[in-house]
Amino acid sequence: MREYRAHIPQTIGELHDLIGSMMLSSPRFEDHSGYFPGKNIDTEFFALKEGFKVLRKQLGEERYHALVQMADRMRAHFEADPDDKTEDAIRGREIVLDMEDVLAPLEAEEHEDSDGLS
Amino acid sequence: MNYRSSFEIYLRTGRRLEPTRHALQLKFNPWHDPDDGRFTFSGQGSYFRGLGASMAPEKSSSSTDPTTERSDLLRLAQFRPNPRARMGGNGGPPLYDPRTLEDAFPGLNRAPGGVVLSLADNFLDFTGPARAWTRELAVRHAKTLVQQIKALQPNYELNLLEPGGFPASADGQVNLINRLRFDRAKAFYGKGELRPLQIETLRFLQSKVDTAYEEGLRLLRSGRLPVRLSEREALGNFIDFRVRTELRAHYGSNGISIERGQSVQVNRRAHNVSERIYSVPDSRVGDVAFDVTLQEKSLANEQIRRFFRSDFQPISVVIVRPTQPGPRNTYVITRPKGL
Repeated sequence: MREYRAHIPQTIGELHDLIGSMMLSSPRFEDHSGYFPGKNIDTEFFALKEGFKVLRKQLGEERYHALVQMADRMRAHFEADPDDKTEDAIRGREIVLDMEDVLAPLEAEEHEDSDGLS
Repeated sequence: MNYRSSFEIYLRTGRRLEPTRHALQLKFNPWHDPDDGRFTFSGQGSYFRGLGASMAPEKSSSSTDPTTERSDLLRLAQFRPNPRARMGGNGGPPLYDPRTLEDAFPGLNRAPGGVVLSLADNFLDFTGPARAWTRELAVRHAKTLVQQIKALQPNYELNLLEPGGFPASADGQVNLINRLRFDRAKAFYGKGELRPLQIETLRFLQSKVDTAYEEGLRLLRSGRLPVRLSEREALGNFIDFRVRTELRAHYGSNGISIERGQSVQVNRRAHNVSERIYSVPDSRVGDVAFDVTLQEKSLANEQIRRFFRSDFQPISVVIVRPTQPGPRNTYVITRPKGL
């Protein structure tokens, strides 16, 4: 099968999409549709961390380090609850909301790629 | 009294006598096979009364199969089974293979402006109404698709018998067919033809929206999805985020650029320079915009009107919604006149 390549976010809007997408695909991040056979927690957190690097300048050092630290905590929660049975996966998802809050002022500035589903 | 006697009386007396009912020998076999309407022997199939009687057949006393009782009652003698359903011995049902949006939205190419058309019910099926999926069928479809791709792209290589062999499971075979269809669309795209990519984008979006909706509902119902907005709004946003992220990965994994200025875009501004406004379709492929949503949207929505007013002048906007709440949730809106 074709190798799955996670998309590395290039804009704040794309980064927001990736973080938001983790809500429904956590805690395992596997794909059962057949389109992405290689997708897993490693590929998704790789894309997230790489996205932080790409956007480091726009994020600013303080936000960048805060987001990296939040991503590490989020991953630890998901890995502790791979079957979505305990509170850990829920804690991980709550961090998704916290990361959205961190990005919100930047999104307003960028004001691009954030149409939302309404 | 028979016809001959009547004629002799007429010759002798000039009076016309109506032949008696019994004089006419009318043959009538009330027994029919309800599946093909053919005559059967007495006591077999269903019993249909003659003229003047109800068309409802009487059940054969020899038939003891309770599963046929209801369907026999509803079938008329002239019933003919769907010929497509009988295919199988001669290569199976035809491949259901819509290649353009016109194939997936019946009537689209003749529709006037501003019209809403529903997606064909069997869009995500492979065999149309027959619903029979076999390995033989999958191999035949895969070979056909490879030939079509090679016709466009002679150096295309895909060994259907690569390590692991041809997929054994039905899911694996469907995945392979989907991959080949996307490869075909990509080959057309390389030749400047975008319509197959439009239909494959729709196929991907529909599949992903349905999956995300199902997973989102499961999380919501089990109380495992933290939300700050209304549940519906939160679910809609998370589906949107996920579908867009996966669409970017799908294009990227298949080597289709979504950089600014390309014909294929994901969630980028579509400007109307003269009016100094813009809209942001979830995706656009050539002159078709796609919007993923839980809500029903129409030309009454400013967002949809702005799509049509943008400088890329879409000829249609496809509204992609989960299929689980009901059929025909996904539809296309054609470009209205005057916009």
